[in-house]
Amino acid sequence: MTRLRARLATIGIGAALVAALTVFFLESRVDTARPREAAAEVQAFAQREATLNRDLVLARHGYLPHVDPLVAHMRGLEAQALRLRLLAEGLAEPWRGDAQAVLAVLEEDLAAKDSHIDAFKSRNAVLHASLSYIPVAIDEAVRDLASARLSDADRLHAERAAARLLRAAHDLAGPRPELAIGTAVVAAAELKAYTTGGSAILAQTVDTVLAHLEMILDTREALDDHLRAATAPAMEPQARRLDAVFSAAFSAAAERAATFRGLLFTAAVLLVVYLGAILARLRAKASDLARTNADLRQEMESRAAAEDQLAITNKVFERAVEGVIVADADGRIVSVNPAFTAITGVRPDDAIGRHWGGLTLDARADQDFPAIWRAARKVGHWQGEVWNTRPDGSEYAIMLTVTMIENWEGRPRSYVAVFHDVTDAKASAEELHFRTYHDALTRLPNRAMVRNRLAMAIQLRKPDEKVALALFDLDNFRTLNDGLGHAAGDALIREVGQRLTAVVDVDVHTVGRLGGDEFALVLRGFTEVQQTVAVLRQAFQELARPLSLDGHEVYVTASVGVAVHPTDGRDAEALLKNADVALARAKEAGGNTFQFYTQDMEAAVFRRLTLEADLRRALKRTEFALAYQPKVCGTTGQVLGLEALVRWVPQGRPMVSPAEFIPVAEQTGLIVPLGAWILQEACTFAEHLRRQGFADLTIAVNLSARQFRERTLIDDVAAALARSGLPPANLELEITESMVMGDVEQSRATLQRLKAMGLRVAVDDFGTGYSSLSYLKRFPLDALKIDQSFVRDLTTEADDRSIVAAIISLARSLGLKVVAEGVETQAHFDFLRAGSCDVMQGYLISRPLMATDITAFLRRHCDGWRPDGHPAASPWPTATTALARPPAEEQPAIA
Amino acid sequence: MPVLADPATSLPLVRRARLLTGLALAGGLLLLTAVAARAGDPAALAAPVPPPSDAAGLPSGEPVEPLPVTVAVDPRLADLGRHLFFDPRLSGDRTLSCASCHDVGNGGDDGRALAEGSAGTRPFNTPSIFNTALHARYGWTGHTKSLTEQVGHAVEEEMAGRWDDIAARLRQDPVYGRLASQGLAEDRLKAALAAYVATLVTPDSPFDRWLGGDTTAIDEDARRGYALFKSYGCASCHQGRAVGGTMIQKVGLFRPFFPRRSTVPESDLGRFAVTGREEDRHAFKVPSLRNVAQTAPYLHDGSIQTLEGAVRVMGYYQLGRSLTDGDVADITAFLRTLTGRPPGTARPPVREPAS
Repeated sequence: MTRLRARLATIGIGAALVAALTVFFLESRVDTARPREAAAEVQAFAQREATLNRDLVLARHGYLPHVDPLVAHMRGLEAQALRLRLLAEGLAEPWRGDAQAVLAVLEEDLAAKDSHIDAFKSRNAVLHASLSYIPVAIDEAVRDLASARLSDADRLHAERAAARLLRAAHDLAGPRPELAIGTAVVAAAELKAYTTGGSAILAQTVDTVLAHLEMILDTREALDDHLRAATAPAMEPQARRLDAVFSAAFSAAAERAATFRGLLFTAAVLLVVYLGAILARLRAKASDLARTNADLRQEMESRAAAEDQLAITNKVFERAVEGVIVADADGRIVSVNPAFTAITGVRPDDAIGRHWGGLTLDARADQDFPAIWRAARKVGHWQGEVWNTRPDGSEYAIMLTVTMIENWEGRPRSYVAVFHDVTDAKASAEELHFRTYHDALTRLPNRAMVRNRLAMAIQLRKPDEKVALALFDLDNFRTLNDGLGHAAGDALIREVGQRLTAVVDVDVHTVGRLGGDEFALVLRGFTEVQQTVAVLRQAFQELARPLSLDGHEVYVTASVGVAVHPTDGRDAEALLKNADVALARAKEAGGNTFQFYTQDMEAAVFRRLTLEADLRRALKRTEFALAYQPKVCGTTGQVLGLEALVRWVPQGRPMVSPAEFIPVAEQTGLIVPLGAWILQEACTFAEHLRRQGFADLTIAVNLSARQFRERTLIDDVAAALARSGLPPANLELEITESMVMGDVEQSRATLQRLKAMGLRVAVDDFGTGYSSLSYLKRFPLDALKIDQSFVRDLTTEADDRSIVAAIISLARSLGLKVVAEGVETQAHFDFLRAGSCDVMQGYLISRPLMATDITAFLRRHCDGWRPDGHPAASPWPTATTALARPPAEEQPAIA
Repeated sequence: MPVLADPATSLPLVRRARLLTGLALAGGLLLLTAVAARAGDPAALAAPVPPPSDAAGLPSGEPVEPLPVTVAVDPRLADLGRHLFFDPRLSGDRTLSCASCHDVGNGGDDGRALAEGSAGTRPFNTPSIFNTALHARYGWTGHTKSLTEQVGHAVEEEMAGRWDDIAARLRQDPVYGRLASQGLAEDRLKAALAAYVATLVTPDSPFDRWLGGDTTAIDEDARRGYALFKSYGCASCHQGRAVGGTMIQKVGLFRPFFPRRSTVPESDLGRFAVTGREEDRHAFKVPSLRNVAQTAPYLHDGSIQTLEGAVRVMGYYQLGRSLTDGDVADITAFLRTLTGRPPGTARPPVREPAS
């Protein structure tokens, strides 16, 4: 009840304040336009009245052509009076009454003025009509005098009177008419007197004059009275009074407004205070309520939260992926969740009641469960990874967290163990580790791993033990890969990896793939280098087994470079580098062999670098020369052609073997200018011979792989022919199988262009590379040159005999000539001739000869070479074989 | 007091306080609006016709000056007035409209000697309604001082109309609903009529053109007539832009005009009937001579049929002389040049007088 009343009172106060605010606001407004308007109106009224008075005076004296201005001023004054009345009505009492009283007087005066002006106007009109007419009438009277029957004296008097009257009439219109009045009256009387009895017309005229004069005189005074009356009521004081009333009223209004503004401000302040008070009260009440509510809510919430928590915990416990074990203070299992069973394979019945330390079956020594439990009890917490075994025997890894829960005294109350299965995660981590250090294709250790193993082997080696690194590089892998496809190449690599792995015990030694077709073998735990060689031999045997790829039978050979610690390198890096050098040497040696690193090799590397510099200089100085080895017909012995072979004799130094400098030239690109020079030189020499009568000789020039790929080849050939003048048919280019197998289409195009020029093309070293018959068929070839390695062992190796026979038969079927190289003995010659080999070349016929010697050779055998014909001319069989046998490194001018 | 206080109870308290404040503010706003709306201009209705300007162009020194081309009034008010002017519902018996006597197509009067009002023949000749905005008094006796007063007089006295009835009648008509959005009170109707009448000016007469400098606008006779008009003193009264209408003058200044006739003796008293002053006996408003050639017959009782007759009567009684035939011919020639361009007023759709 009290509250209700208080509330009503509060609302009442608020409403009253708002109402007061509204009223005060309305009352505090000040109309600033109205006072100005009122002042202006009063001013204008007074001004207009003055103007009207002025115009009245002007009209009185005939200076106003018409009275329109008077009418306008009067109307204006009336309109202004009306506006003033409206303004006055807007005033507050008592000023309204005052203003209205003043206005009443003003309006009364105005009405009186109007009335007087009316009278003034009509009289003024009459006056001025007469004033303007009198001269006309006097004029007429004088005219009538002339014809009147009057005595001359009377006429003269009359005329004089008329003249005086005229002047007086003029003066009457002037500013001081008083003086003229008497004169006019006397003159008029005289005129009347002297004209009496003149004539009727004259009398009428004179009467008119007199009537008008009379009218003037009658009107004048009344007119002036009205004028005075019209201008007399000085309205200015009234206007001033009105102005005063207005100012008083407006300043009072302004004061009142100011008062209300004050009140407005006060009310506004009160309202703000009131609202503030209400707000404060509300807030206080609200915060009281909020506190009470918050307390209750907190209690409810904590209860609900506890329940929720319990429910959630239960749910988490039941549904968690993590296994949970709850044990009491003594470590006896109180409860486990389903995930526990899922991970450990232990049923809840088997677990509950047991000590949880007993769950461990096969943990590592430092992480058995009792130990973990002890740690947890000691520090309250344990976390780690644990391997364990399920009852069914499978192993699993878990990430385990054990937390001790204390009771209020801080003593252990229970233990909670949470864990999740990390077996898979660990497996992935291991896989990642594996990938980082293993080659994906062969799953063998990769270069990084090999290096690690190597480093480890060096580190762990016993004093008398050695560590060997053998680098394997497959011979001609690229050709195989290109020819059979990458899938086949991958299969080949995998197979090689497997074979190498089979050779050694990988627990002790390491087999790795360094990339591409390069493998590495790290051998450890041996004392004699011979043991290494045994392993390598075994590896070679293993690799030598034929390999079936895509239905093709493929043979793989490898070049191997070996470096041995501690003699060949102190650390892994040095071993790798030196094994590489040895490998390069093995490759240079033709592959399918192994090479141990020697100090000489380092010197060889150095030599190679200096060689390059020398080669560049040699090209500039033309330190090269060509040797020519004759080729003869297998049946007739006729000299068919010469093979040009390059020789380098640096100034002041011994000759450098082509086997040494050609690879360097090839690597550095110097082979291109060198090749061009050889072409030119060979052509020029051939043309020289042709001019000397050896017209049918064919000059054969070897092309290098690089030269063959070069775009300028065609131009170089054409230029050589053009400059020398040699017919194209006399030039034969020798290429190798591997050169054309790279980009088959490009090679075919190049060969076709060369053929189109009219040249001959022969395949050199046939039988050593990977030959595809289908390609062979597609290339425009003229001859095959059987590699000298087959010819060399022709007499001893049955295999080589059959290979040579096969090549000859193959060439036959393709319509190609067959050239045999390396024919050194009569036995070779006989065998080849029996096998219908077309052309023979070798030390049996002639060693390569310099230009001057070749001319002599040709002259000597101009009618055909005979093995038994000119023993002196050629290095002949048995006697000179040892001497004449070409050095191992003797190769064609361009490999 | 319950332990857990209902939080809802505190809400209406706040809401109620807000509601009250809102209401009070809204009330204040309404008050303000009302105060603002009260502001208006009552002067607009009180003076629908602006006072004629006192300076019509450069002072020429001539007693006659050209008429203004237009008179500035509220066009909406004038349009309402135009409808009223032609509306017979303004008369008590719905037979007469203002236009019944003031034919705006022909001189602004009715051509009769005496006016025919609702109560029969009136004692005065109908004056022209043209150019009356420039007059100082209205009616032959000058009984009214403004057009507003005069239209009131005409409707009430001549047409027997009652403003309440008129408003009631017009309210039925949707046309007035559109025209008179601010109501059909007496003040407004009178103001509208006055505003419309003020627009009825006849500028561009030959004489005005001559005054404006067009020397061929009037002929020799008229020019001589204008000279006589001035020198004989006619222009003393018939002057200004309306060539009259601005003063009261006694008829029979030089010779007694009355009691020459007795057809309408009550009207012969002139302004005396209004003021009761002896000096106003036989005094009448000086009529405007604009379009005078079209407003025969002449004088307050329509007793003079021709313009020449009127000129002779005026000369004889007012100027005290007998004008020669030549003078009369010249003066009438001049007076005929005062006929201006009739106001281009479109008559609103014809309203059939209610049967």
